[in-house]
Amino acid sequence: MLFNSIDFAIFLPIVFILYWFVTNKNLKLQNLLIVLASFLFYGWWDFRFLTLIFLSTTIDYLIGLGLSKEQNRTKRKILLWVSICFNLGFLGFFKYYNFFLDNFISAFSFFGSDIKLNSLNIILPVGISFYTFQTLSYTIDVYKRKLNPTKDFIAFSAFVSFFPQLVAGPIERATNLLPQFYTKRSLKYSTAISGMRQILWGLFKKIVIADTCSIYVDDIFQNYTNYSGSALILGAILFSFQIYGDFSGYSDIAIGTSKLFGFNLMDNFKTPYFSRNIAEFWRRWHISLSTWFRDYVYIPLGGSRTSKKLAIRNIFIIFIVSGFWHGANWTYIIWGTLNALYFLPSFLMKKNKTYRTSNNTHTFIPSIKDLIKILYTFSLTTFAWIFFRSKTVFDALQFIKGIFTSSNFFKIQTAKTYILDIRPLFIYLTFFLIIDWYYRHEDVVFNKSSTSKTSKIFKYFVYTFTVISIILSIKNQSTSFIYFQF
Amino acid sequence: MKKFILKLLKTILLIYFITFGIQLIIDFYLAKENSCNTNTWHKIYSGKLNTEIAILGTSRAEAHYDTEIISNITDLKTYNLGLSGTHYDCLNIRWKSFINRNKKPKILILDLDAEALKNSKELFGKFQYLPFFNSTEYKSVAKRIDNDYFFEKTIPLYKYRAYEMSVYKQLQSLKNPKYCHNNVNGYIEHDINWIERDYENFKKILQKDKVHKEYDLNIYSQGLYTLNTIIEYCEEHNIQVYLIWSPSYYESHNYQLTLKKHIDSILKKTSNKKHLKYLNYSKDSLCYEKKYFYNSSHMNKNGATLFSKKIGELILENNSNYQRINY
Repeated sequence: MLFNSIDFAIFLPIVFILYWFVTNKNLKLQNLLIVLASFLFYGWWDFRFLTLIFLSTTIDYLIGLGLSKEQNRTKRKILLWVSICFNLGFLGFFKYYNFFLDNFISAFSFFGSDIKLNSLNIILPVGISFYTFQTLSYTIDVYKRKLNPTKDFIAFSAFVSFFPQLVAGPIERATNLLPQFYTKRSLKYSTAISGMRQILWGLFKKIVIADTCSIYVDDIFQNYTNYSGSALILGAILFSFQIYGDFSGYSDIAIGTSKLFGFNLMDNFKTPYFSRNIAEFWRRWHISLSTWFRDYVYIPLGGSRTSKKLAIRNIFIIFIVSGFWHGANWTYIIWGTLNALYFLPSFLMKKNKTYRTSNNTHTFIPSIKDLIKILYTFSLTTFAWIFFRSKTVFDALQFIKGIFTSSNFFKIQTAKTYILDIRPLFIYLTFFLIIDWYYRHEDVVFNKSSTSKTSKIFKYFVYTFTVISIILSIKNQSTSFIYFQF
Repeated sequence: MKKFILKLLKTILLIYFITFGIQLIIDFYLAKENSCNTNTWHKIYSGKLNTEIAILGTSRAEAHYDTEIISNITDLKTYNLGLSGTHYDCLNIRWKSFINRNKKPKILILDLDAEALKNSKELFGKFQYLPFFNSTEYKSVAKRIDNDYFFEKTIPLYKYRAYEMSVYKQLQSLKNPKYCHNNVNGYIEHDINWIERDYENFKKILQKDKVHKEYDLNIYSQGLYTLNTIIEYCEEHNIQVYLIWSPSYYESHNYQLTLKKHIDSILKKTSNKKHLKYLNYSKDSLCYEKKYFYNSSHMNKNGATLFSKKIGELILENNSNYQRINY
């Protein structure tokens, strides 16, 4: 089920009513409702893959129990590795089997020997990378004794399959989300309002920004040989907004929806395009994944508290693995490597921790220096996104070549800009950037407390504009979220 | 909880009324007769379309019948109700809203071909209908064809989605006629030469057509039904009907030949049964000269001028015979 579909618009109020008005007196019943609703939500795509979630849940639940009983270090380690192998095995099979097979064949043919292995027609289960990492975090935390394993199977199932964040995150830590299933939830007025605001803004980001950008982006990236340098740059910039709108929009709706059920999920995005260097960008972009890799890969490898050589190796590992997590394609690996290269200078100059606490300037108009830094960082990330968006490395390289060599550089017209008028999109993008910038210090957009009449009127004006933009941008068919494929 | 639900309802209602108000304002201004006086829909819906000869059809009708020429020859007021991209099942909106609100014409020319009678898969150029969204004529067709009709009716402004710039341009046209089509009583003049690129594309389509030979004749059910209802209405109201298959470039004749023959035979039968004039110009001398066309199925100004003269003279001759018989 998609957040931006009629199905979800019907599903959500029904579950909300059942949750708060029917099952509200019994915590177990509420958790069971969440499990059933989540299975329905997920099964809407393909019910067959529910078995995979169920299997993953059962195995990690049993391993968790096993870890709690087992005191022998070796046996505990074995249990941990069973969980890791099982979870990553599924992920590897569904996501990376064909990739490794193709590269294996290519490597053999490079050395002159031809081998014939058939690739499989594998459907990637939606959200597998997200829930696999979530359950892994549980087992690792239990193994490290940071978390007591749960004996409540329903609560654990609800934690793994919690529908708002099941298919595209935020990838929650068991330490944060699981205990919330043990305690009675209540719906606070301010939390519910904040949740609704976040849902509204998430829908704006997805429907107005991402889906509208995608019309032009798809055309430009598919037909890049036909277009001028400026049109290709436009395509890359619009993709930056598309992927941000799409993914952070999803996260906003997920977090907002969770709030309506009394749950508090971690932040996943904090206005990343206003970052002043790459390190800051990565502290603000897909936070749940970055911190997952930091806690479960980077730090166990030694992090930065090791020799410089090893620290650099660790940086490359974490960025490349992060790229590879997105998909079985060399484009993602190059995207990860590029980000590691961007990150490296600030790490070597020990500037990667600047802007860690100090947020962007509090004045509405940024200083010229900050603005230049923001634009520079945005350009770097946009350049890397070209690899992320292109189907193959060859396409990405040709795309980049097109930017620099194409004739008629300033002819920005494309097939889609010719048919459709791109001006409304620029208006929406301007509105989006202003709102994102204005509320950049808040956890949730529109959350600034307003007491004066003028600011209340302004807030309602902004709400209305947001709603109108959403209505005017709805496409005939609900479009999927980009991150579902990961 | 109660406070939250009340606040939610209050906000939803407030936004609903604001958006509904905005929709009413847009509807009001878009339905207005704009300064360049070309808004046929406005004339139709305000009952101001007083014509003696009405022409109905697709873009081919719109481009082929010069109203001034026909009017000058016949001395009868002529209006071209042709609508680009609109097949007969959807043209019913225009026809019904016209006859329900305006003086009935004496003569109706129905420009027909195999394409015009096909069932529509969507409402082409939906934007033009939106200010008149609540009319019964639109409702009856849109409910059948348009899956979004329910949501467009229920959610304010939803019907204007993706039309932001069209709304803006239409509102601008109230002040500035440069946004208006250059048309005279519904006839849109195409003062352009043969477009080779369109021709090349057409040839590719023709090539594919040779491979695919089987057709489902059910695709005409709605179009033929609409045609029959129009003819029956005219019969009841004593309106003379001409069924005309206007010229197309000769190379296009082989395209979907089976279908064309089928439709031609249906039109012949109908005209015989109802005693109507049916004239098929698809083999007219005009069809063999590129200079009269801008693409394989549309005549340019030169072609339309000659063809309109033929039609004007045909009506004049027929009308004088008709009057003589009646006298």
